[in-house]
Amino acid sequence: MRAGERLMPGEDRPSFESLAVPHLELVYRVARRLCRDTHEAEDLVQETYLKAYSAFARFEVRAFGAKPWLLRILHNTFLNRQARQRRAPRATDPQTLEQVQADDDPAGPPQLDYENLDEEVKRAIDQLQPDFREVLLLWATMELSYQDISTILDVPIGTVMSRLHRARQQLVRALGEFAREQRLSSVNATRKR
Amino acid sequence: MKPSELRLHLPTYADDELPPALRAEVDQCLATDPGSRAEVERWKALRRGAQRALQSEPLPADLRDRLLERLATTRRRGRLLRLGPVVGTLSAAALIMIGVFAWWSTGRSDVPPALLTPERLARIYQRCALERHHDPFQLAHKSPREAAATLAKEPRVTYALNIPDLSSAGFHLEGVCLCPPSDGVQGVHAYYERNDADQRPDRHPQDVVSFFSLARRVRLDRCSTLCKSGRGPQHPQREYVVASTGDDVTVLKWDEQSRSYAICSALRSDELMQIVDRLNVAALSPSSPAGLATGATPHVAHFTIAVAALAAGALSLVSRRRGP
Repeated sequence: MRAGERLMPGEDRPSFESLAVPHLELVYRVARRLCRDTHEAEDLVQETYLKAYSAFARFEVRAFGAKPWLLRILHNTFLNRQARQRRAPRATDPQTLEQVQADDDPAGPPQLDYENLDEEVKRAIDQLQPDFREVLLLWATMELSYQDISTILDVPIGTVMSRLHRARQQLVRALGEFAREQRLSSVNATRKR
Repeated sequence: MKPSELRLHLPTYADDELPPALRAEVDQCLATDPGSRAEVERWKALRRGAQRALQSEPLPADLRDRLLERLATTRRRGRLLRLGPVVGTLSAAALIMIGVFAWWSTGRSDVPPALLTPERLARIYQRCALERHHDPFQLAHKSPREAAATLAKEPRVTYALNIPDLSSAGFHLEGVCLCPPSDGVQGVHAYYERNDADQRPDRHPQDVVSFFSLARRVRLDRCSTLCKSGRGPQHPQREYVVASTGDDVTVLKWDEQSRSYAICSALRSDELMQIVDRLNVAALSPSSPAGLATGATPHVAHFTIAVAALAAGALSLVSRRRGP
């Protein structure tokens, strides 16, 4: 049964554990990339689950599945933690702005062999600013629609699209640089031979 | 559609998020533009690559266990918090009952004693015991225990009965009546006759002693100058008030717990004191056939039962909540 569905009279409500804990791995993955730190991510996940547990009684009134519900709590918890740590995400800094302007005519993503690029992709994602990173994580990890991401993050769908656009462009640039370095190093290796 | 515009839409197209009309337009362009089609594929590959990279993030080994443990702890705390109002309500109810009981008990002890003149008691002694031989229950020559058992069945007797045994003083029970000494004071009047009185041709008032077990405390009225008080050697805690009436009848009154007792006779006060001071009236109360010793006892019993019921209810509630 999906969380959020109403129960019929006499029907047992599934336990919080059976509904939410199966998504622990996914929630952790998102948290890990949001925080960029293992321990902080673990704390964030635990805080998210405890908040979800305390709100579980009110959960069925939402027209939400368990995954989006958990991710929304994760998002809010993450923002609260940032506010507590006075590390609220700042607006785009000048350098990024220049990059975004330069991205107006992007060359598109490079042709890459992603099977060997996990660490590079993760590193590139870690370098995104939190707002962009969060949208990109939801987009990539769960293959959510823009509308679902908008609901989870509680922002307009246009904001989701612009953040995702910028996140993708930065990711493309980072991976493009990596690809160029790879090509250079392979050319050099060939010349040495 | 311009090429720059087309390229702007390609990532959204790859995500299948374009509105149908725009999507159709892009589809038309892509049909004739293999470079753009390749770019769409690269955007899709980027999403798959990001997904793949993120899925390679391993879950810390003990995170699941730690989380489940924290959830269990939170659940236990929550259960206690949920029980808080129930326990609080029951405690409050118990406290209110204790308060009411305390108030009731205090109130009872603060009830002023009824006023009663010694002459009232003396008149019952004279009329019922000496003149009329008033014995509606036909308890003459019965043992005090039998008399108490008989009177316990009498609806008008709503309190514990104390019919003392005066045989050690040479008296036997001659009759019992419920003649009230005044409107506000109910009581049992038991009178005794000296054992050898039948052998004398005339019946003397000195041969008859009346004992009163009164339902509440009384204070002897108009007694400020005529009365005196004293204590006997057997029960030094008892304070006897001794009053003499104009008919040479002596009245001895004392209080125990919430009740008053009196004895009166034409005997001298020192002779009466000797008889009275041997009586252990309070000791008769708990074993009284009436079952309940004093006026306060039923309330104590009810209170105890109520508190026990509350405690049992709370326990059953707790055990039900702790169930599987």
